[in-house]
Amino acid sequence: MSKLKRQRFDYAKDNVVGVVKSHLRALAPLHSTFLEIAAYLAAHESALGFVLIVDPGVSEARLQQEWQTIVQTIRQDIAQRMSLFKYEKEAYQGWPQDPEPQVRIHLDAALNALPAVIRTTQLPRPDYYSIILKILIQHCLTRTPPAPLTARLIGELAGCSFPTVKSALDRLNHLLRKAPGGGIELKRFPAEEWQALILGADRVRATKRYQDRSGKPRSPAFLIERLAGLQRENVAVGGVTAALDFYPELDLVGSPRLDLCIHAPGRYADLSFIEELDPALQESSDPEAPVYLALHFVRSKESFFTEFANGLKRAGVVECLMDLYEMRLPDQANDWMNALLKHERES
Amino acid sequence: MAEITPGDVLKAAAQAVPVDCLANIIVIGSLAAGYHFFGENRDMQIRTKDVDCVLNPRVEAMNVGKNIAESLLQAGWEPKFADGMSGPGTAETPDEKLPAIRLFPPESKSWFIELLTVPETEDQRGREWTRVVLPIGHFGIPTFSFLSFTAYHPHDTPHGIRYARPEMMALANLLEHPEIKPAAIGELFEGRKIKRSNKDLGRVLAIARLSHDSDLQLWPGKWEEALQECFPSQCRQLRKAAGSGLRALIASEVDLEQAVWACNNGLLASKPVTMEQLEFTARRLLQDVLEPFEAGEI
Repeated sequence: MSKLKRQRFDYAKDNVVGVVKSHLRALAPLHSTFLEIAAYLAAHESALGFVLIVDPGVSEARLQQEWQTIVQTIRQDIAQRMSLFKYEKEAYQGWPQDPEPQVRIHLDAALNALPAVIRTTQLPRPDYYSIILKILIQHCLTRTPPAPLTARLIGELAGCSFPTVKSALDRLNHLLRKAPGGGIELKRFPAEEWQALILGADRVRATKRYQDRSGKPRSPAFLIERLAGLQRENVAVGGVTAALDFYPELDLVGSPRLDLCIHAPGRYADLSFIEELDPALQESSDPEAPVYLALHFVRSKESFFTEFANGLKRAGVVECLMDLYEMRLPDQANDWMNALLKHERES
Repeated sequence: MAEITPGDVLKAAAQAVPVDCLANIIVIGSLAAGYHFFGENRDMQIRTKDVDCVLNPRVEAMNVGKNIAESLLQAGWEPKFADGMSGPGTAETPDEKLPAIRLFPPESKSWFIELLTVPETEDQRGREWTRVVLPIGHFGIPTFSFLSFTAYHPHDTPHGIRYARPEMMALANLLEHPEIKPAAIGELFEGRKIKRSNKDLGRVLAIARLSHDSDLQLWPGKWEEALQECFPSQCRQLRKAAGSGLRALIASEVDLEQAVWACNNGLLASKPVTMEQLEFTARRLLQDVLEPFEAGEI
């Protein structure tokens, strides 16, 4: 079995073989994969085979249609021992049926054995206008980066081309002026644009929210301790924890939820660490469900992460402010922002 | 099964047995776990009827067991016989057919004391019986393979009786059930026949659920110490199989449902759980405790 696994299959255990694919652009390769599995099943009468597609990138209807085509072209007694599964948003779906618990064990094992690059989440295209606005606000509130904010530097920080920077700066032109030390800066805090950014925060940050499935949610402090142990350089703590670290005078004592930022300038992000934090966390789209972890994607090339005293990554000021607004803590966010602006004026 | 306050029953049991026997008794099972997590809190009740007492050390167990049983019988305690057993055994009764020493207190039938002991060697597997002859007939004191963990550094109580560490009871149950065995428990459990493995592995999950996350993180280290002391020559193979029963439990809806039933009608009577919640309790335990333990990453 191990020889077969090396040759053809990503997974082979207990008479079950499987192939895992991710982010499919086309479905044609599925046919040859299933034919390979079929050949193996023909030679092994009691064996089962599956193809697992992680974040397919194609519609459910197309997968269903493809599955029908495949089973029609393969001998019935063999097709009956084959399955197609997709794994998306931390849930399985299958053809001809969703996986039974025994099958799920194999699928979980196949998934866990994959290189991290495949266990990733595909992200929407970055909204560079919003990214550039956030960079300007970060600079306005904290003077970071300290270097003159030129269009070139903005492009480097955002991770986009000069025409994209120019387009965004043209939209924001009425708010910009030449900075005394060179480059550009905001004339004043852009209140209207900030409000629009807050309103569109979910889209801009591609926020994922996680609920607890154990009935015994873990505290943010415990999850932070666990995160520190994972030593993920691209994940930072935001939300109330980071806000209090930046600004201890904030009128807050704690939060029932943890906000994390993941630096994801590319199109994919590896979210396997969520399960390592707590296997009971599950992504939820239910607006009524209590959120125990909110994960925000920082899409700019520069993360603006700093560090807590213990070395753990701390999300940037703008992300933390957005977290407070999202948690419906506008008074605290405004207090902190006013303190930042006052400090900037005085310095 | 009656709802009891663990502190009340533990105190009553401690007051009933001869004072010079207290040092040889370690209470285990739901009552021990209930006492550990809920103590004297009358709002937190558990459902159990048996006060399982492990007699330790083994060399003194028979004398101590006889002493306790005779003392309780003289004080008016009544023997309880399992279904299908009408009375004590005789000299002709084979050891494995002997009734266990189970005694109801004079004023209540809501709970009873049962006597067990630790195994003689680390090589014992399964259940073994040791005969004890009481004035009313022949009885047996059973021991199970991994009961020695329950005698590992037990907790003291103000009542003079000691109880097993919850994490050690969890380890004993995990090692006792490396798979879901088909055998059902002898008596109906709240009207249902359920597998012994599901009840015992459910207990592991109930203990994990009631424990603080920060305490759970210490379990692998504590388990390793106990394993080295109790099973020095078998550490590697025992460690490797520690989580297999739990994995089998969550892979089977039927078995997991039985474990939920056992929890909600036992240790978690005041904090009932759903199947999903218990499954994720198991997944956390596997990831945070069992995987590092199995891998020897202590």
